[in-house]
Amino acid sequence: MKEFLDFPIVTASYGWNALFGMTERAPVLWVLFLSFLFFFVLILYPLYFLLGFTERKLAADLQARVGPNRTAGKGLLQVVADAIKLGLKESYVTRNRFKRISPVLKTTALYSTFAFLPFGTALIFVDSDVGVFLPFISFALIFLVGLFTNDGAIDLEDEIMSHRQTFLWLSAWVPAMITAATSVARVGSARWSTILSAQSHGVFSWTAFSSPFGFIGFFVFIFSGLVALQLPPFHSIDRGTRHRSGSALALFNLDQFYSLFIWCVLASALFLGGQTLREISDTTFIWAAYQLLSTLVKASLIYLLLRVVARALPQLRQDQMTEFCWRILTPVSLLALVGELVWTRLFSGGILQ
Amino acid sequence: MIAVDRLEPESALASELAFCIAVEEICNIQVPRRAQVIRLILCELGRVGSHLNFLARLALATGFETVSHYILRERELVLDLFELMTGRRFNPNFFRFGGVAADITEGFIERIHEATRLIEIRLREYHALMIENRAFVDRLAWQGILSAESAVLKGLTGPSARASGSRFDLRKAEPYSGYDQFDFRVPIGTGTRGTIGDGFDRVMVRLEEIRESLLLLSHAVDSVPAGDYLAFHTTPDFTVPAGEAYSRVESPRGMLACHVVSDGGFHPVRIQWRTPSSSNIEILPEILRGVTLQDLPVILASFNLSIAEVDR
Repeated sequence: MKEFLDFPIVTASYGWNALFGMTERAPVLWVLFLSFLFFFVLILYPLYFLLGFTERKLAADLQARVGPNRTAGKGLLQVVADAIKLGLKESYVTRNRFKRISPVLKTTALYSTFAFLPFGTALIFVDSDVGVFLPFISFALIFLVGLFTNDGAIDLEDEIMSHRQTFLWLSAWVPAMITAATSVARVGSARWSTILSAQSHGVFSWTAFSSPFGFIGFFVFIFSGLVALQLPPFHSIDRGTRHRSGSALALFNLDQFYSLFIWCVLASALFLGGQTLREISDTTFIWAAYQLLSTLVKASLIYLLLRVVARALPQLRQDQMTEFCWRILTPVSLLALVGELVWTRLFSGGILQ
Repeated sequence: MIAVDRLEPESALASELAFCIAVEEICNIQVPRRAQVIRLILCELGRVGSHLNFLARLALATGFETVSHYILRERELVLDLFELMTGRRFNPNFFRFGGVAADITEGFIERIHEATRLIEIRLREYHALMIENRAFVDRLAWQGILSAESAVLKGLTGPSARASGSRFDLRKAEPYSGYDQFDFRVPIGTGTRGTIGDGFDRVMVRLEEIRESLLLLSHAVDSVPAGDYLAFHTTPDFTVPAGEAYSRVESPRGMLACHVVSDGGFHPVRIQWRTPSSSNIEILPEILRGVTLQDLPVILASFNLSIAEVDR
């Protein structure tokens, strides 16, 4: 057991230790458990409520209507009211065993991404040489579960729908991986801490603003995330809400929020820079808290921007989405990758210098 | 008249008008010119409201939630005008045999001018948001294509048939209620983005019809003649002489016909309706063959069928 707890994988999670007031020798799995709990209860839930409310208010302004205003605090508690309502509602019960297994497997795969998330140079649990691609492998598990369990389909229509969604996932997954490789190509490493450190010399050292190809890559990454998670405007008819109600629906919505939010965290880490303001303080606690806050603010801003912009666009059909991915996003992401390689070769340590 | 209103809430005034024309034909009542123009104004207002509602529903079907909220804001203007004139937003119960229930409300004409100007400006915005939006056009162009021959064979009428190239409009073909006194254009489908008779044409035709109706409205309110708004006041013992009549009007969805039979008693022996949606729905088995599930809501919305009318 002791060997198991002394994790052989390289970690850069001492920031979390500092946040919890623990020494750097504390067992990694224990810190992982604590930080996951901390993230889930004190960060994810409040952000879900806060961003949900802000998004609804912004969307209401955009759509020339009022938005939530009945509950206390000028509508601020609307999300709480919604959560209570969903919690009290009866859940849809099914006898299909895949229907029961599928969400469990999917949720496990989804939340396993937490260990690979780069909240800052000192807040990464698995800082391996292929660290950048690990969250995508967790994401891949989600669609593989969908493919092999039919997502608990109870009729043919459901089965077709679940397969279509899986292949749609795949079509968005490919450009996402390629654009993630764009950032890797610039830095020359797929280790999160290296990628974050390389982008920590001001705004123009961020991958998105260091070259035009990085900027293209950033957009492709965001769009492929929207397609993969089937969020508006790339919105399918049934994105899993048809056979869910009550608390199952509430959990499903939370999962959706978590998926998009961590996609924003990944986007901010890959393209919008790291935060090594070591000079602001020698205390690891302040430094780690600053890193965490900075990542959360960046991810929240990307999240709000995406959700509000999506409201101004009509939905696309699924075949149009798949076509968009294969015909536009994938070639553009390849272009961004090749362009970034050439750009890096020319301008940093390459021919011109 | 109250029961007639329930035929289709959105085009209630068109069904009131059809019923009134039929009864007036049996009783041989001459409707004063002023009442005719008031009826025309209200019917055109109803057409604008119904078409705006169509656009809002179509925007929802394509997932364009924002635009649908914008459009419903303009429709609210139309409903406010109805309230000002008739006292009700829906089911106005306003037309009477031989005229209308009340004269033009003070300030109604000015409000109509304001509303037409505002809706005209907003239509340009919708044009930019919807018609010049490639994602929106892709959902509609080449979808649910209906040929002019099929439209005629199946008895389709209204904007859905005109989008396929048919020019039939009762307001031109058999003018009633003083439509012949005004000059207006009947837009037809041109296949600008896809082909003639596709979903996109059905939207374009209705957008153009709103524009024409707005022009017609501003002309009509400026030329309301002086005179009575009602030929006579009906008494509780009012009866219709024995006879029958068949009237046709152009409702927002197409040709609405009413057949009234009276035996001279207090109640009509028979009232039959030919509603536009009940004949327009017959085209669906032909149109929907081979259509993907995701296009279904959009194509259905583009035909603007009213189930209340079908199941009358």
